[in-house]
Amino acid sequence: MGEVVDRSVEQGHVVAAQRGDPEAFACLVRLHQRRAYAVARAIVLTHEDAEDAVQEGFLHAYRALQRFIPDQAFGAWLHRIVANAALDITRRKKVRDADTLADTMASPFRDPAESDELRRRLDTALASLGDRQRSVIVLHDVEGFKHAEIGQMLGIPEGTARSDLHHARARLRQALSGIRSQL
Amino acid sequence: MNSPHDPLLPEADDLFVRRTLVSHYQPPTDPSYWEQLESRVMARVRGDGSRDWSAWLSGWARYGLAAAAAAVIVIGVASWQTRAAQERLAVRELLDTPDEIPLLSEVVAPADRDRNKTLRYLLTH
Repeated sequence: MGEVVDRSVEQGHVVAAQRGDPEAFACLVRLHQRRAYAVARAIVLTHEDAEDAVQEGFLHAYRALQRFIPDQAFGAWLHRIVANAALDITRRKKVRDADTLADTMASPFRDPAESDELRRRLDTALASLGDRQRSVIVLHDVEGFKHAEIGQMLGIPEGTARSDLHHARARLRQALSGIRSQL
Repeated sequence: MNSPHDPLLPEADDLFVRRTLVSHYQPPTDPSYWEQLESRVMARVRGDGSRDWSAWLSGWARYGLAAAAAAVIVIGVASWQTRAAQERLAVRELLDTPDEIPLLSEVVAPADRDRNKTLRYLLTH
């Protein structure tokens, strides 16, 4: 899933994009869009919202590119921007349609091998988690981000990320405990 | 902490949760999907007219602008300080002016002097 990005190549693209070369920025999009999607998908509830967050995130990054110092890690900077875009979408959605959670959880791009019962139980368990706990466990367990990185992305202390992960894991473990033997 | 399902192997439960999550959050695998997403992102980027204004300035131009702004601020502060000092000096000069109020001295006009002489003569004779 994670792509190995050559830092010097990336730096070259960043500097060229800062000088106004759109093709260089396209290269940055190509290098980082999968990871950016994963970050967004961990935070929002649906694939469509993740797509929107990725587009918003890249647009914000493009607008703020002059303020980015090329010596820093572009990925970490971008992930924070995408995470903020995803959090904004989540907040807006929460205000707009708070009562359609169950429907929005049923999003496309599911693994066909995932059984209906497992999917149902997982959806229920994920819905029972708070937004932050869900984001933390997905970013950690699925995407492999460290606690500190997750804290930076979500704007929470590292200890909070650690604690959220612990509670989310316990909740999901409990929710899925009976089904493992049936598979 | 440990699930009742497998109390001796909590790691196995965690692994199961992790695998389930990975499967659940699997991103699209079709390369064409990513090409389309990149096209959509770039279409928005190219159509965006509200890029940070500083983006159009090169690094040196930004430094020059920052230096000019700093110079204007320094000149403004210096000018303000000079004016304030001048005002203080003017007030001090006004307050420190010595009291040179002329002393009243008796001035006797020549006509009065003659009259006084006459009166003195009449009184003494």
